[in-house]
Amino acid sequence: MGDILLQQNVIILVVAGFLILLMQGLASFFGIYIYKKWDFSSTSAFQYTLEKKSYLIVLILFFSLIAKIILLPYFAFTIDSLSDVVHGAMCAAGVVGANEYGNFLLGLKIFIIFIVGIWLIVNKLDITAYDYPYIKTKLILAIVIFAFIFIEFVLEILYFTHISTDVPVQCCSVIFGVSGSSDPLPFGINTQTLLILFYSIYILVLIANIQKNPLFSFLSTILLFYFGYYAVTYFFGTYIYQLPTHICPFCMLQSDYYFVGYLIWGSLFLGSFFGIVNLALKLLIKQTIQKYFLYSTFFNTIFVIICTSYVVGYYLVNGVFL
Amino acid sequence: MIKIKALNKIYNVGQKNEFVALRNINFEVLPNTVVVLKGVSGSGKSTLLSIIGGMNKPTSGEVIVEDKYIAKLPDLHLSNFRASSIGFVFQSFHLINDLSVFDNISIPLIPLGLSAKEIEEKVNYAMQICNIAHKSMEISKNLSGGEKQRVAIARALVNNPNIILLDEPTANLDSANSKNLVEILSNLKKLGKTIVISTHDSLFDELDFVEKIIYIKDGDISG
Repeated sequence: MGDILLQQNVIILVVAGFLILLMQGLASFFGIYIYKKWDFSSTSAFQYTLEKKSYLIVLILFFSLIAKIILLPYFAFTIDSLSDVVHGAMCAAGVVGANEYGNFLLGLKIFIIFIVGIWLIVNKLDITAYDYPYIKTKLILAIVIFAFIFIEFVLEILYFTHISTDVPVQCCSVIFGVSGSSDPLPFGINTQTLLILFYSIYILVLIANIQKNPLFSFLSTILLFYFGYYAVTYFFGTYIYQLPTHICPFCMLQSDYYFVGYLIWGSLFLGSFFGIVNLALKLLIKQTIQKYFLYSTFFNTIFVIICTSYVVGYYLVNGVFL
Repeated sequence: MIKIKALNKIYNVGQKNEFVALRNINFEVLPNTVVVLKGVSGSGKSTLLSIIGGMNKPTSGEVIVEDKYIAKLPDLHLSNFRASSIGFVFQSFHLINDLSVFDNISIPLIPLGLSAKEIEEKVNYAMQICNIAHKSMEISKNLSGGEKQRVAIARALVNNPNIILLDEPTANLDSANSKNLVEILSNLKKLGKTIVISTHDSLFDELDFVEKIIYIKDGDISG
């Protein structure tokens, strides 16, 4: 337990996480006060004071949430680096699965980043308007984010303190590979069906973004995110590793594979984020931003191109598929 | 049009050294007029000028400049407002000493992304109005007080703002340069500018192009 907490990257993660939590907590506390007393039409001394305070609060929220985004890839890097000290782990997969908190923590971190992204967009719209139209919305959203960050921080502490360096964990080939679950793909589909679904859903995403329909874009993006994860892990990943039995979503984050995992997962996350954000904005502030459909198309296309290029590249070099 | 309603400015609110700089100020400045804010040092006129110029915020009250409630503007819009609508001439000029006259005057144009030719045209025009074109390449620290004043006015003019605010414009000038300044101000009024001057100099008391003199004493309008 102590070995893990004394790892340099873990110390950085935990301290940074605590500082962000602290800043979020303070900002949320004052945010509630501003939320309750805000009256933009007033020219009273009290309202002017609130406007000054809100500027500081929003600035604190902004910088702490930007730091939060930066910490996600750093978390991935950290758990990958921990595979050196956790017995049996060959990559982050074994470290994430070292206890019952890991997978939930990772999922929560990704979910939080999506909400943080929405907050940053609402914030930008608010501070570029003349009359702070979304200040109450973003303050409420900040409080929600704080609640999630608090849960995440507790989970992170539990996670890191419950990783044993003595007890061997499973490596990725056991977790995801042939010796793992006998039916790893969802709904009992095979790889061929998975690929048909993957490319079909990608086309659906393109159509949704061309139509600029927030609900359609949201649904198709969620599907692409879901099936994209399986397609990368169980099919495209094998071409990245050039080994049909090497099934893992994490090994591609390592230097052996030129850190391409950051690009693949990063483009999928960004594509998914911009695909779902317009529905969230419509629900929160009753407006959509057309260029985000374009961004969604761009990042999802990058994602699909990178994945596909590994298969095509392998075939061109070797003349066969795996 | 500048409209001030129930304006108060208190420094260090709630502290031992709380100081009321402006108290319930109300007045209007019509377009293309020259208004002088007159009062002794510490009366609050410079604070009022900086609030009109969007460089300072009131403690309470309304400041409406060209139909914008500038005390309520978020920073981004306030910056844009200052850049487009206000030309401010500071008492101590605030030139960058190591830059030439031309470069000093061109500074407000930098964020606008204009071409070099457009910048040159605008700067030359501002220099001509202020009669400083012959010193274009001179380094600012080598200029006399009167010349620095003219550079400062040219810099305030270069964005073609509708409103020019001058804070104690004759404080660092001799009588000859003060008369030159009066001539420049007269020309600016002919160009359709609204001019607000904060001063304690009696030079402005009887100028024919000054429409209104507002006397400020201890943060109040006294006449």
